[in-house]
Amino acid sequence: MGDMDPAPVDVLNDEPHFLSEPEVAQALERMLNEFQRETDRGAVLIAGEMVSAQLAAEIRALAPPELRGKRINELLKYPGFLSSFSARCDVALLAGFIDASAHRSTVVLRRLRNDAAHSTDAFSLAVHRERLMQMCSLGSGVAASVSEFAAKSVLDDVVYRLKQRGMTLENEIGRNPFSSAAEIFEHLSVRPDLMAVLDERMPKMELAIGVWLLLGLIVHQGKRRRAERTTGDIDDAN
Amino acid sequence: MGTIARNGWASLEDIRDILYLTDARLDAIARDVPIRRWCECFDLRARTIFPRPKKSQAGVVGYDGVAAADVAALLIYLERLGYELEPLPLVERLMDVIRSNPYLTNAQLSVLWYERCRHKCEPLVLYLADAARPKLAETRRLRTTTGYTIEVATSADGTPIWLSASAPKYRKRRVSTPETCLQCGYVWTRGDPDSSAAHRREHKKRLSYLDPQPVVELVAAVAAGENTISVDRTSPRWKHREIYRRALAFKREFGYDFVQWQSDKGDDDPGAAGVLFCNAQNVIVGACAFRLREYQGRSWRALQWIWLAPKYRRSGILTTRWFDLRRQFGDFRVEPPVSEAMQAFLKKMGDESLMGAPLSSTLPER
Repeated sequence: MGDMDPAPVDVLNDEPHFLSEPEVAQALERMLNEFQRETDRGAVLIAGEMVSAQLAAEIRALAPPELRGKRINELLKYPGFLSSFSARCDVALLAGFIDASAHRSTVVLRRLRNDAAHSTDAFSLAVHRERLMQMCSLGSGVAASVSEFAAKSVLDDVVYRLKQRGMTLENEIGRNPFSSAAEIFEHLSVRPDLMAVLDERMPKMELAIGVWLLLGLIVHQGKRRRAERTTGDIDDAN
Repeated sequence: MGTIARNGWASLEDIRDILYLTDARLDAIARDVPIRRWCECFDLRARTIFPRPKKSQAGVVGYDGVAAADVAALLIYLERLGYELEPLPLVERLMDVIRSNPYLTNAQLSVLWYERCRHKCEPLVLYLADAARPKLAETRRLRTTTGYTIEVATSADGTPIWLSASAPKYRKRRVSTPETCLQCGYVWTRGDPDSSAAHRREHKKRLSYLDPQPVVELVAAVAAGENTISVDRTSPRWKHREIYRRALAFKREFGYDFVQWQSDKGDDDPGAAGVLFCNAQNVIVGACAFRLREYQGRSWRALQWIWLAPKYRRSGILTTRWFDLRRQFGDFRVEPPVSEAMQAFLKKMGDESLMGAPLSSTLPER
């Protein structure tokens, strides 16, 4: 047997996948951890803050040299005019840092965040499922895929946890009722209470995945914009 | 015998005929001792019975009769005394009816167990009444043709005082003594198979809360992300099963009359709120239950009972959960009677006032 072939390289588009950027990948992990502990209200506030912070980072990175340093910090910090989430969204669109679909998505998220922050009643994401799906509509069929991926993730998580726990259960009660995925699904199928719990987890998972995609898109578009500027500068110099 | 089983009754003459046709000794004795007296010896009754009157008949003439099951029992007793009899044909004919009866007489029980206990029964003892009992002079022993051992004690003038007949296959059983299981507290009788089986069943049930193991349903619920182990009327059945077992344990331990949770299938009281105390290993270590109380326009939560498995007591479980209970149920009232341990706990937590009258008319937000 010869040496293994090197991994195929996409010659036309050799840049890394937009979701594999370190800050984006870390953001998903952070959201999955935090959202588990948080209420729906807390999860939306965290999601809004993460997107707002990412927009601030892109604005800072793409700001002209004249505005860099102390001035940009003043603008992004309260009471600077770029301190609010809405201003960052609009300026990012105006400056071409994000496209219309990302802007639409951030606007929906911002409104959702405002509702969560300012409502005096109990806040449930399940009630705002439609808006959540609007936030995830970052392209054709994306919202449906987010929903599907969220359901799969929630189920995979339960299956993984039960498989792990099943191994220790064998020592404790003398049998492992969760030795295979089939057994776990059979158990879940006769437990409507568990299906309801899983259903409750779905909106938060959809929010995490939707925001993950949105952050990926913002980072990707910002990166492309910087690349375009660099190419333009070289052309100008030539 | 077929006629007796069919009619359900036998005349005293029918019984005399049976004795005549079986053991010659019985026929001889039957001439001296009336059949009615035979029946009385074994606590069987002869009653007056009447043939069913025809439509136009104004009156009927009755005669003494014995119920078919009593006849079978009489034959069984005589066999146990060592006589050569065959009660089986009558027993077999009566079995169908006896098996379908929900309640049985003594005689019917003898018939029901006849085949299982034949020639294995405990010794049958007949004796004279106390007042007429003379001084014992001699004891004799003999074996009948059917293998029964007869022991008879007589006075100096040869009057029998008592007579014992032992079955050929009789084996003395180990003495049954009541025992209390150290683990589950169930009182059972060693040597009694039914009692042992009942203990095994109950032992398993009781150990499920006295020495609790991880609950499969709870493991799945926690893995699915459920973190509030509260129980109300909408909760799944497994939660009701678990909380009911703890309510039952509380009732047993403190000797109360009622289990303070409706059933292991559910509790339809909208004001019922149970809490299961679980540890990191998905073991339910205890539980408590609250009810909504209303009086003169005021309403408050009342802690009905709280119970922890003995092995988990004095390990800080209730202390760590007390704050959550106070936050969730507000200034609830701890309903009397309050155990000494609970009184000490409330004192430690500075919540002795909860044992008094309800403090607040408002309920915390749930």
